[in-house]
Amino acid sequence: MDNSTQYDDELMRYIDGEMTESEKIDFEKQLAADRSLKQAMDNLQLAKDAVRSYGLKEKVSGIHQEMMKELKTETPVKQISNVRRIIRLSVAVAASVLLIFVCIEAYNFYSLSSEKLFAENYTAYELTTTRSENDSAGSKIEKAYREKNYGEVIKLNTNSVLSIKDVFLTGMSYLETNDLSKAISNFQVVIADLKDQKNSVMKDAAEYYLALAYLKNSDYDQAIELMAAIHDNSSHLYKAKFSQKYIDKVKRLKWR
Amino acid sequence: MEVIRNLADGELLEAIRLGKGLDAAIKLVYRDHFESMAWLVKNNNGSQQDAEDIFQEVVVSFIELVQKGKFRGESSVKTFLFSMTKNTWLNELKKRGRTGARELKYEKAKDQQEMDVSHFIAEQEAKKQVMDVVGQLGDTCKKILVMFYYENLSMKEILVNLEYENEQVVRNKKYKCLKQLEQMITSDPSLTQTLKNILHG
Repeated sequence: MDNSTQYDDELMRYIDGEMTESEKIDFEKQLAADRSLKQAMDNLQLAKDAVRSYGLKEKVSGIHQEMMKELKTETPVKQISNVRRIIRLSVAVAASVLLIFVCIEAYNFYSLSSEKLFAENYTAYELTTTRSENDSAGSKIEKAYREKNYGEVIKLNTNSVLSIKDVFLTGMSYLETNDLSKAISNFQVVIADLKDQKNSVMKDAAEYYLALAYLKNSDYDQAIELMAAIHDNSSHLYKAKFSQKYIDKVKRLKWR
Repeated sequence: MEVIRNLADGELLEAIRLGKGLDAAIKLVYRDHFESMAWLVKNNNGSQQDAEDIFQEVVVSFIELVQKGKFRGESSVKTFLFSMTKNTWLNELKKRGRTGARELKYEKAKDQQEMDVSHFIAEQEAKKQVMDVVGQLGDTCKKILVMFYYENLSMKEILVNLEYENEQVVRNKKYKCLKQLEQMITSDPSLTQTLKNILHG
């Protein structure tokens, strides 16, 4: 018991750094030789270490309060609530969707061209019936057209008196060879000639191709007017070709 | 009041290690790093109070590790504080039953480097337990022990502060308080072992 008290006193003086150098050396020898003494010293050291940590914690706690006041007045840290986070996220998603939509629309707008819209709608005119071959200029034109020999069709046109169908086929050949003003004239002739006829397949076809020829020739006002007329005519054979969406695209092309 | 506005990491660590201008150094750490570390916590399901508590805990560990020479600037102070804050908060989330919390979002700091602080985090956890034990001591015991062992006040200075009759009374009181604390700590063998491992690790 006495030993224990003596050791406690020595341990405390050792821990507190109050021993002289020679006392310290002697005591360290005892520590090395006595496991239980070493154990007791380690435990006291733990307690001392705990107090030092606690002291530091108290110090930081005091400074913490002070700094929170300073920082909150200087630069308030923004608290982002869950609701605000969700709103932010939703706005970001909506903005992204809008941006994508605007980009697509802008791309569509700036990539529009009369050639593109023409190609989107154009279907080559096919002769459906095979006439018996004879020597008439008209039949030669039909034959050349069937063979897609558009140059020959145009050549025959200059030398002959033509049927209205041949005038139409010549117009088609001009359209195929991109001689747009002549194609337009030919289709106008066909339409004028057949203006009194109702349910004329040839007249409907001429109107359809004339509208496309106007478009390709950048005569947008005429193209839009004719396309709208075809769209509004429930008995027109080519009504389905000119949807409102398509006509709107041509209008946008006009605004550019 | 001493206000340090700008210190390189090396100078800051030196000030902390030597304990010279420690208050000013701690304030500098708060001014330079609190906002970004608080952002990390608050953007990962933490409140303002959580952010403050976690940062305070990290600062205590930081100072202690620097003073014990366990952190000598192997990474930048910012990297160290970031890694400690991140891991301390992850630990706290796990304790709160957010078992899925394995990673935090920190886009704002995506270029932020990290360092392995797992052993420091383990030490911090054990220290938290021991802090609780010290907190259970009576107020007088805490005051005497902190004044003597942390603030390094002499017995005479403590005598003046606490109005005891003489130095021997203070000395006896201090002795009893430290023994009491030692017994409280050693009554938890696993905590004792963990602390010894840290002490000798």
